[in-house]
Amino acid sequence: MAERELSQSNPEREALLPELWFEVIAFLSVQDLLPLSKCSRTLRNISTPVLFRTFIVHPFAIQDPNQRIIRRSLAAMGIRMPGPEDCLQILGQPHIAQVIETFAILPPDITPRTLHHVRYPVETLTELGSLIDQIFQLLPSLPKLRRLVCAHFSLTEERVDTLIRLPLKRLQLQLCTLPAISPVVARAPGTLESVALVFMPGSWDHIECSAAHVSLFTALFSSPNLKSIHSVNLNTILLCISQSPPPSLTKLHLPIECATSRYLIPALKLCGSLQSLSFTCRHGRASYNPMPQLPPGSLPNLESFAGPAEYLPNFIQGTSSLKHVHLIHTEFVQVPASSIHLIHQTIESFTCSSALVGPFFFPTIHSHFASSPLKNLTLVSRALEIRESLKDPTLSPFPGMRQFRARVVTGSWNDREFIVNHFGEYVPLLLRLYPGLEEAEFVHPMLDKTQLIMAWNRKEAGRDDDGNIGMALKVLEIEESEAETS
Amino acid sequence: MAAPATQQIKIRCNDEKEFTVDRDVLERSVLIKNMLEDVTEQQDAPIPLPNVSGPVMAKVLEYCTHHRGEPLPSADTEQSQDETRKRTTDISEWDQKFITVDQEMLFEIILAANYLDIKSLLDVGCKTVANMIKGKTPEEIRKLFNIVNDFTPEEEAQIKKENEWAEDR
Repeated sequence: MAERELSQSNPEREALLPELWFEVIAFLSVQDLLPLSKCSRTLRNISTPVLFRTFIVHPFAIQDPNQRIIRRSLAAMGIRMPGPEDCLQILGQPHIAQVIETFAILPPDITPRTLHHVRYPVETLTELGSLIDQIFQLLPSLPKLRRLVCAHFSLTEERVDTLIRLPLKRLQLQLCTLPAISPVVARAPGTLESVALVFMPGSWDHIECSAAHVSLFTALFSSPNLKSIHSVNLNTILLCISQSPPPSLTKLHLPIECATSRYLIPALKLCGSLQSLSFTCRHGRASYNPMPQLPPGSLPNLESFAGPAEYLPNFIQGTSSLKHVHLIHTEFVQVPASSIHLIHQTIESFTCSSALVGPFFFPTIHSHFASSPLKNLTLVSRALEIRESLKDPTLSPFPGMRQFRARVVTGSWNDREFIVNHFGEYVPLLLRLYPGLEEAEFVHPMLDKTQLIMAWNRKEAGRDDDGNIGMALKVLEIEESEAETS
Repeated sequence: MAAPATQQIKIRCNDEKEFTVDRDVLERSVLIKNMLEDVTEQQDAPIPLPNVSGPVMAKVLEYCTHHRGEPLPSADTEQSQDETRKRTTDISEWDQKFITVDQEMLFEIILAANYLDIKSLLDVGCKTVANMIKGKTPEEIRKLFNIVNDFTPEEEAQIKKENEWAEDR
């Protein structure tokens, strides 16, 4: 029957060639792709790799009476909600199993994107152990699997054994428990490039060296291609790095508590390839304990530092190759000029995260970096109001600046037009201060978790009829991006 | 080294229609750019473009003339930005006006942009098609693009089941 219908189609008005549909679907979200994938076999085949690139299962039972009631009433209406067990049937379909690149085993209602923001009421969750075991048995048969995200369940010895052998590029483990007895962990295949670890909430200031953690992380870090380690609250990581230093590590993100750990210096001394070091800092903290002295020349390739000003001098001693500095200022006061004066005048980009940007911020930046190659300035603030500072007529221009970004973290405005107008006023002020500016970008969060991005680009702005530079902002609304682990 | 901007190049479309165009305008097409680089000496014979018709070429040239002088996307930046960049279907004002054509012409432009290898024009065309699809039901999409439903009822049921598992990223 299908063939007869096909022959009836009019070749004169044929739809796009399949290879051009590939180009089109690249611009569609999964949501918009779903109806297209139901149109025809050809479109189904084209859509499948995008639809199932990420596969999320929620193998948890929820002790929530409301959920059961909802399920029952939906069933009464003849609507079936897919249960977690149904994933096995879907994963048994070769055309789906073949295209999965990211596999996530997460609590209900959570996606890899929202993982970092959600604090799940863990006590209401029970993992469906045998289902998770069945899923783990399937993982090695997914040919394209490169990223695994696990949260809120126990990594038994068998699961660790499976996980460590997968040819992954990226691994994220969040709040997974490990067995009490250290498992014998095999060496990870050399494919792993990035690991993000979040363990044990509430143990911020303790060095908890469970033998199981040490053997798992040591095995993961043995990957010769490991480039990035992102750890939010686990000090054990330093011990593991010093036991099994990843030879290619370029990016290390640590909880701020690690800065005063006795394992920090031994670990860093073994990370000669490190290019980027950053610390998680929490707002509201006034001062930091002193950090142990790093021997000169320990990190010859370090280009980028993000953390509190107090720790910066340790990383710019001697012949520093530091090009990018991100000062994270956690007190609810203006950034002191003394913090900015700590930065070498050799950097190319400077980012400042601070609750308040005072009137002295721009004059200090302009005078301190006057003869430096600084060309990139980013401000990250709670509620950004710098218009008056930029209007200051005594502020001298800074011709070297090419890029300016301002990012509001928790904005109180929600009127799109008002926000666009507000930041629209910044462009002429910035162009007076930075005559060489190529790009400006303003990011403001909206109440519905989307972000308003307003961008100005010299090339795209063009000139008006009188030959003046166009000042219009290009406005884009995007969903909140995935957490900083990427 | 670089040829003077004023150099004129002749092209001939599949309906014998000929155009004489500034070289830098034509070089928005990577296909033609590579062809011109392979030819060392000045040629008077027009470059044959057997896959493009005159009316479509006129449209493509309008686009290339407007965007002349803009940097061409390099192959490797494109690849790395794919994930984030492609998600936006914003089209600039001029391009929006330019691409407001009937569907047949839209498909012809996309085909020509693909053949001539003009990435930015291909993107504008594909974004336009993507925008047409957004918010439509399968039946509406089939009608719009003359697509024949070749699924059996069993397959349709299976797809419905599978699609419950499709996730964004």
